[in-house]
Amino acid sequence: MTEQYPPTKSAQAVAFGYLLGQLSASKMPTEPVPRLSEQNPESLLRHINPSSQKSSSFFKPRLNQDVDISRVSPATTLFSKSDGKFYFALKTNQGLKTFKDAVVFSETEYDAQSDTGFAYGAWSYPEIEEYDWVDAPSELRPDNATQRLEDAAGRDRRQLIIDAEAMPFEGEDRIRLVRWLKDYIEQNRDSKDREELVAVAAAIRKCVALLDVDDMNWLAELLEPGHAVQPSLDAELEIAKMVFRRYSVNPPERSDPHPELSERLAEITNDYLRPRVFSRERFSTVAMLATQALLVMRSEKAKNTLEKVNDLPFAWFRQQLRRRMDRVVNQMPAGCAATQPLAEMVEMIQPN
Amino acid sequence: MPAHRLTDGGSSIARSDIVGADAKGSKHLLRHISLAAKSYESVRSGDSIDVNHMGPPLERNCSSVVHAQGTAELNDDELNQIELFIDEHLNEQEAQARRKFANYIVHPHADYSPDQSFRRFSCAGYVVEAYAEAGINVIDLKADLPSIYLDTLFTVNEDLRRIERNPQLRQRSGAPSLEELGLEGDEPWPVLLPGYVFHSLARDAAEIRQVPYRAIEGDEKFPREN
Repeated sequence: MTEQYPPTKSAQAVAFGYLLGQLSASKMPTEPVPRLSEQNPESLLRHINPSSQKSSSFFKPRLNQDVDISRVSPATTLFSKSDGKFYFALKTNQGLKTFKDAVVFSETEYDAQSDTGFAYGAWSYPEIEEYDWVDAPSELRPDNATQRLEDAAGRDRRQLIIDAEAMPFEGEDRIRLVRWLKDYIEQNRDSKDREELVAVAAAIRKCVALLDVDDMNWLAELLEPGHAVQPSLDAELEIAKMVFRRYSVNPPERSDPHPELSERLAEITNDYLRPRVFSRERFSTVAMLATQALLVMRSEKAKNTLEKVNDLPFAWFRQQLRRRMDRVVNQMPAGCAATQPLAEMVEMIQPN
Repeated sequence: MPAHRLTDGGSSIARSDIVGADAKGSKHLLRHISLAAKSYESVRSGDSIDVNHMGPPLERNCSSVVHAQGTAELNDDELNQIELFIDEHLNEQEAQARRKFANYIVHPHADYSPDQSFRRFSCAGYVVEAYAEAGINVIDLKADLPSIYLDTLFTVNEDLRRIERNPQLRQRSGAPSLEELGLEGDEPWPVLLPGYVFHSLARDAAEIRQVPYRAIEGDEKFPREN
């Protein structure tokens, strides 16, 4: 496609650029999709995998002043490459509109056999409509993120959470976001919807990354087994991982700074470091991360956990744990008071 | 069998073996590198197989074309350790799939987001870090890596070229700038490229485990041009 760029259309043409960016969750349709150029676009909608969609919130083009492209358009990712040209279907408030003769920058998921694919990005020249740009919804920024999250719902909200994870937050913006994320996590952690759980996992990671140290025991509540349902493996994994990451970079001044959190993490290791469950699902991964978290907090509970680790008939687990913890110890800043006591605990891991 | 280019004859590939894909228009220059998601009995050059990789984004069981293969003849313990590494990033991976570029970095080969909430990898970085989890340091990262110029990076990564040459596209897609991908200051940069990993795996399994490979200029192609 690089030969087709830059586009050679008349400069008079009003270019309609749209980019769907981050659409990598796209999956090829499982059944053959008819060629867009030959079919009513409406018939194509049923072929779209809903999980592949993303809100194109960074732009909102308007067609002929009165046709808005839906912000979440289930058809925007579908293209067909009949006759060497690309055809896009866009869901608008005036029904489906098609755009022809588009140049696609990335077609990594294009399947020549079925002549279908999902675009990561495109720059099209519609021949059938005139349009102009209107202001996009305000760009997601740290200072408007919490308000945007409060105003959003469903798929938009999930995407905003995921986008916010990649942004820096400080001061009041951080405080507002953490407060919102805590509420969101508490309300949605039991969701059965995989899409929601991906957002919950992102919310947990961001929340733990930004949480005040004094507030870390809140995580113990999330891991409380007496909750309506058992904490999900995903929640346990993300919490343990983030506690480890935070305290491996910034070791706590005093050992075992959050006894309740340590208690919950120790419960996890106690439950999962059993040969009968260890190899199932991702129990070994959660057990690894929970053990690492206990170690970097220099928790009293870590000793008991390490005894269980050393009793396991899985040397590979001990070897990997030891390598990971040796790396943490070696990367600790010179003169850090936590280094020696942590190194002594790590020495307890018997790799073989 | 040491690392080799796949042929029309077909080669068996084991789970978490390393597979590579050629760049267009440059003979034997590898543009991408992945971990085989499962074992295959016979794979020919140009076939697509399921891989775990940093596309970007980070993906699991994603189809990818392959032209080269390398193996360290992983044992079950090493496979478990690599699997744990993959599992650890599963949720991050699913979030990344919805924001294609945020977790991608060209240089260094791997790091954390500033607040540690997610890891960032290059495609080669993901593979090298996965093997490090199994105690196999494929590349000597303490040594200086060869200096790589932008032209070579553009050949390796066509998306990078498209994005860099079209600021409007970059702006609207949310794609990162070269600086945000870690390519700060003037070229060249010591970028870890996919080809280096295959030169490392072109040694016997014991040497791969004992001595990290020190990449040299020209290793971006596998095999190297004479």
